[in-house]
Amino acid sequence: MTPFLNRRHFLTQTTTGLSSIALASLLDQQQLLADVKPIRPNIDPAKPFASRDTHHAAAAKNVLVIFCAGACSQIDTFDYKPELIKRHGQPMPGAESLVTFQGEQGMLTRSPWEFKPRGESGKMVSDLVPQLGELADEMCFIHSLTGKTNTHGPGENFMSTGYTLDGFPSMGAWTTWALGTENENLPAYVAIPDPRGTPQSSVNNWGPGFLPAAFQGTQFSALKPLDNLDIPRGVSPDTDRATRGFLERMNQRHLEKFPGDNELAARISSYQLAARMQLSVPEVTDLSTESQSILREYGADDSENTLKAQFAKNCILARRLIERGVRFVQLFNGAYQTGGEGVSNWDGHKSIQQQYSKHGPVLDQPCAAMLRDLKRRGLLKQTLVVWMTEFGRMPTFQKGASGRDHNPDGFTAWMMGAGVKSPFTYGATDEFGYKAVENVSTVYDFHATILHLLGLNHKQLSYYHNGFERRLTDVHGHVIKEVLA
Amino acid sequence: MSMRDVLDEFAAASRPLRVLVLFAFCGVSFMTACCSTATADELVDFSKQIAPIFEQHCVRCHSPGSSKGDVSLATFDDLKSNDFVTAGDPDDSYLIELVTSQDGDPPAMPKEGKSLSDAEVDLLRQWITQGAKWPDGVVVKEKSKADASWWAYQPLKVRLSESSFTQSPDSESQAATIDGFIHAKLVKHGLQMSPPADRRTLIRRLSFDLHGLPPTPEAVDAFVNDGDPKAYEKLVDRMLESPHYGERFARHWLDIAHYADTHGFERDQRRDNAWRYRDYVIRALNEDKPYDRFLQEQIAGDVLWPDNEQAVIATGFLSAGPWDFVGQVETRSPVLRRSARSLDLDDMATQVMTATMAMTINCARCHDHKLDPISQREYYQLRAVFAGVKREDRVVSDAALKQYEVQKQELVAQRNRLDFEKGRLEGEGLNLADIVGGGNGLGTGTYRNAIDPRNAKIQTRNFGMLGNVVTNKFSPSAFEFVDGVFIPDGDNGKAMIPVSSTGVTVTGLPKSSGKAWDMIRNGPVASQHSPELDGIDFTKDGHSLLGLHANAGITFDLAEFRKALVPYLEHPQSDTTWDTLQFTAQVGYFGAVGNNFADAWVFVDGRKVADFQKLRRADGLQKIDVELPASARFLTLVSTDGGNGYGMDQIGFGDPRVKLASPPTLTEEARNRLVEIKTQREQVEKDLETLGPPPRFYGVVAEKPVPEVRLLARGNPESPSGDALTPAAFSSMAMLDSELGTLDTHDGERRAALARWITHPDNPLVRRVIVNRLWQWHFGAGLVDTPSDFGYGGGRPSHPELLDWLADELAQRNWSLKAMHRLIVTSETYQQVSTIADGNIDPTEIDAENRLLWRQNSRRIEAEAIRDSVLFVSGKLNPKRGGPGFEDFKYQEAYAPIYTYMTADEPALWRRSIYRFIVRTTPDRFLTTLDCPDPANLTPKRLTTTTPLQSLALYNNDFMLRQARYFAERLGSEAGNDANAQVRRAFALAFGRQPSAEEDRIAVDFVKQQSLFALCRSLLNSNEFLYVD
Repeated sequence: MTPFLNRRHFLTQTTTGLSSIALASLLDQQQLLADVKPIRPNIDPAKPFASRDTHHAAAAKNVLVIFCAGACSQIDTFDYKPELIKRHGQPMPGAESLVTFQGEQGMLTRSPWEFKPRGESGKMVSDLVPQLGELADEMCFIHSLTGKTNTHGPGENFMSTGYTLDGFPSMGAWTTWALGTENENLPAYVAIPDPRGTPQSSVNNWGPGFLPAAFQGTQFSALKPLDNLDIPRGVSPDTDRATRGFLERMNQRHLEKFPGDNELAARISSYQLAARMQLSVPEVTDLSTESQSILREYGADDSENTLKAQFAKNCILARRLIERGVRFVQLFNGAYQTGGEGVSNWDGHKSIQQQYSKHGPVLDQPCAAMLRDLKRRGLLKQTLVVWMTEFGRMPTFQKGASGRDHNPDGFTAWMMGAGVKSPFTYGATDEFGYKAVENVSTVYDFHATILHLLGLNHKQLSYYHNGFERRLTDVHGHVIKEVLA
Repeated sequence: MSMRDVLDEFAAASRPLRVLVLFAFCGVSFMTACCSTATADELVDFSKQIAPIFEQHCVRCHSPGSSKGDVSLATFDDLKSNDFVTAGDPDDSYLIELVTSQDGDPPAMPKEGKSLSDAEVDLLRQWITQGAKWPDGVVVKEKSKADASWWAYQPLKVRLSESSFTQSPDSESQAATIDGFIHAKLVKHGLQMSPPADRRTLIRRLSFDLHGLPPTPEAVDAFVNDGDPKAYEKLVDRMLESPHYGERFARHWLDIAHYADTHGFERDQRRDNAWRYRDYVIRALNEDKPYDRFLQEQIAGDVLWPDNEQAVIATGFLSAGPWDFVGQVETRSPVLRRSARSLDLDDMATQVMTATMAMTINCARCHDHKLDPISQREYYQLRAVFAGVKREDRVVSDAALKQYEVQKQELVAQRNRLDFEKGRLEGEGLNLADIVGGGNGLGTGTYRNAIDPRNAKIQTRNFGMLGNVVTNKFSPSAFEFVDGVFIPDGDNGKAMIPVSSTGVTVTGLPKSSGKAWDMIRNGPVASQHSPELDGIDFTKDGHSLLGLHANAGITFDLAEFRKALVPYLEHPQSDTTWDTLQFTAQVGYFGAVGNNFADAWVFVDGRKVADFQKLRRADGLQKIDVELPASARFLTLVSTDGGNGYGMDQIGFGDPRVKLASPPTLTEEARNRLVEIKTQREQVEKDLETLGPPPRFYGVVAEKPVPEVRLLARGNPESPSGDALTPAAFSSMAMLDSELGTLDTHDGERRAALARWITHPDNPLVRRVIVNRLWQWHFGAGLVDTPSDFGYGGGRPSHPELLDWLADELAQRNWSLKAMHRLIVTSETYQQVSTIADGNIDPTEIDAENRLLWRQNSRRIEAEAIRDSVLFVSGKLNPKRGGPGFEDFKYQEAYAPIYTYMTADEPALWRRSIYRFIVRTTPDRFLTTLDCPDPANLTPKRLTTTTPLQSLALYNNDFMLRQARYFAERLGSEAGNDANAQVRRAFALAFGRQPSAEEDRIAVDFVKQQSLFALCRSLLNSNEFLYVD
């Protein structure tokens, strides 16, 4: 039921007949809970991150999520609405009685940034993100996402875990629980927070929820290294190695008392794996091997915009992780604690033009460079890139302010790379960009689609917890087949 | 015994799947209808023949609660409105078309599952031909898989002979024991119990189980060498009496309550008074509060025993979980608020029912429970119990608060008296800020109390811009040391501004805006940028600040100062300057950096003695030292706005004092008194610390009247339907009356009724659930291995008779948990070895999971136990119990608070992990890596993982390394310089045993080649240290 790790498994089990397994399974009835029979990953506790079988042939091997924290406005980036420009300054029909997160609505307000046709497809993308716009031909847009909450924390939880409450497993946790990773010398799942701090819902975005803690995202960035990685000061590498050797000797002796206990054996090998990680993680975070032209392309050498340079380094790190087979990478743009209400994230309530003018350039060049780089290296063939944010924003300005309030009724995400159509646009919002009206999609659909691309059936990827067969998609979700290549 | 028998035996515990018809409105009228149709043989019987077809094939997707099928087939109206059926004509009925093969394609419906059989299709056709009659008001529903006959809801099945308290001398029946049940089942499966573990293993196992800590080497030796045949039982008793027992088991209970010290969600704010509930749990367990009372207090202690502080604090259980401040308070959207509140109530109700009865009621939030007999209506009736509950900081009781305040006031008054006397003796002078706060100049004033510059009234709250300002009007003060106050407007130096009650005036002040902001305060003014200047925080470390925002002025009466200061001192008659006073302070601009400035002025009897014009933050502190001759009567302090408006004009006089100009000479008696005062003051400080924070806790308060609760269709708070619901529990517990009140029953009574229902002596489930939890905490897995789910979706009991017997024993033993612990840990089953004993058969071939308990389970200790054990072994564990949690992070107020963890490297942070201040959204990464669960979740059972990141954390984390050093230092001081002695002591401390000869040799070599620190570091990382056998 808890499929591994809380019970002591024995190597002998694999060689025995059905009998003991049958005894256990008769006591555990969880498979009856789900509509569809769950597929439990076959996890060897000695190697929890070993690469595991998919449910069906996978289009994508790994995922890179770009998460714009704070609710990046679709109105000012990717969702072009000529009617909004025409009716700029007029009231939005029906908005008189509408109370959104912060209150009442002002007038319909066009984006301060021009939209221009991009690439061969001519997709209209705003001047806020011109370099990303140039990649429109590679992108698969979903303009009709709808969420369940209007509040940041729950909104981020919803996008990252499928539930608005804290404490549910993140998409990356589900993925690595199901699939393990291709490179056990690096963490299977890495979360790279923004240089300014963590997003609204903090570690919930990469938490394990009730899944085994092994599958939580590991947090580090180009600025902040992985915890506990260095050999302690005052300890020589030789002593460090000798200590590990002594430890292993003691553990081996202890294991003799418990022959075949693979949890104890797993702890022994985890120290060997840890030693390998001590080499491979510094290697991946060491950007000194990147060429000057790469640094320049990403903007990592920008001495005037240090924030951009820092984010650019995170983008390079993200590419390097993907390159080395890390299963799931979550790259955050925007932080919370250091400045709410859009100061250090995309939450442009009061003065969106001024705030986004700072955020746009930080995101645009580094992110676009990363995508081009991934493509050049052939990594988009196996990597699914997903750009998302917790919800959208209103086509109106807030009453008495020069910014937009929250809007979960119609917002944009895009995908790129393995398994998705491009250039492609799916779904649409109404004439102002307020509500999804065509091919209305839920976040569940979005998640179901991502899992599908990874070779996972979202209905069968479930875990028993306190009476529920829990899924990333709760009891909802349909794969958006139209976006599949 | 064949495997087939094993299978049959367990299969008997599960129930067959069944579906049947439920009646939406009136069961009786439907029964009449179905009986009348059933008599006619030729007629199709709807309830027996047609409804089951819908139930089996259609309604799972096609019902009002399902999001799958777009249409509902639950009622006849549904069928009609969708034109699925043409009565009398099956060939024209779309329903038939859907369920039969068309043009060689398989039937369109059902999409999921098997197609209808030919017989079923024929029945449908026949029913339509006969007019498609659907009895009135009948709704076809998917039936839950378990019904009220589910095993968990049945009375305990305890044969009289099984009860340990009903031994009949003339019968042959023997008292039942845990070992009897376990043994019987093992034998049935061809297995046997393993031999008992040795004493060293047992004491270590017991110590971790009951205390969450390793035993001391001395305790191990004493037990191993104890010749008393009852040595083990006595050890168990001692351990259960130790306060560590409560600290250990409180952690288990708080997991179930998802307790933490912050609210959670995005604006993760502090809950500074939550710890009282944590301490309640520890105390209740240590006092062995009967389990039924323990539950009653946590659900409704404030109502049932309002005068019992502990019972009131117990309701912290209801408020222990996360709470969405932004969703419930900050947002202006009513829809969002309703949604957040609804999820909050769901969380609270779920916590109560899973913790006490392992009922997964939250499955019924959107639709009837699909597995267990819990209807959606019942779920909302249960919600009605909590509908009036709001989480809030509240006082333990008015009496407690009053008593606390009296005690505190008395202690503070004592301290003030001592300070006053000391100040008087030492000639420290009087503090002007304290005087502004209503004090005597020696510390009796109230911090941030203020004098209103408009009228000299005492003010206690913050003000912004002041209305009704009359400039250049003097208002006399009632304070003895303060002559009066005024708001100046200098009119370019021309105005004659009255500054005293005797008519003294000043001139020469510049023109000002004539406006004023906030008060003249003992402390910073309202919205003051910072109380800090030049590195001194004037709100801390004995500093003081007289804050006055432009434009304002205050005059002190020096005659009163002399009265207070002079008579207590010896002074030679020849000295004529003895009553000369001195005014000292450090004045500065306390607003923000930038183009902000203001002026500060000092006058004596209307004569300017100091001025600081256009003072900015960058100018820092300005020293004031003014002599006040015997003739001087009035000291006047003024701030003006500098001519650029009065915004941000925050002038402050730091440490403002008026004292005697020449130092006094102390008599012998005075010197002795000063020594006494010092001792007395230390005692008062100690008493104040013991008194602690005020008796507030984070609990619940009642909302009156209780908001109405209606069933929410699909769980959507925007879709209430039906009548307002009365509070009720679950009818599936047939032995209990599920009604808990009427619509008028107020909040407290609702909760009290639920508490009584849950703990009713006839409720078998509560006891089954708790004894199963106890079992899990001693064996690593429960008899039911889903401890918070005893429903259809959970596991089945491996030993149902034992479970019921234990549940019965709990009642026999007056609901004493300690008695149950004793019963379990003194069993042979518990005392078995955890290794696999040599034998003819390999038990893992029959029962690899050890569900039948042919041995004890060895387990890795939990994250908190690892941390505590490391501290214990290093000798650094701080045993301080109770009180506010320790904070191993830096706390920073910000848009959302920032919690930055630091290495716990001081005694205050070396307390047991149960006393940690637990932050939800910024968890301690060291502990999280070691599988410490997220307190957003109800965690009935810890999971253990093994990862390289854990190894890195244990091997390289700063805390671990420092503790390894302390461990090495401890060995040095306890075992001296001899490596052999050090190794022996190290093994004794970490493993509770001596090294073998070979281990000794290897370890001593290692210490000699590397270091004692390296040895300690390895031991704290070793499997033997981290696992309990």
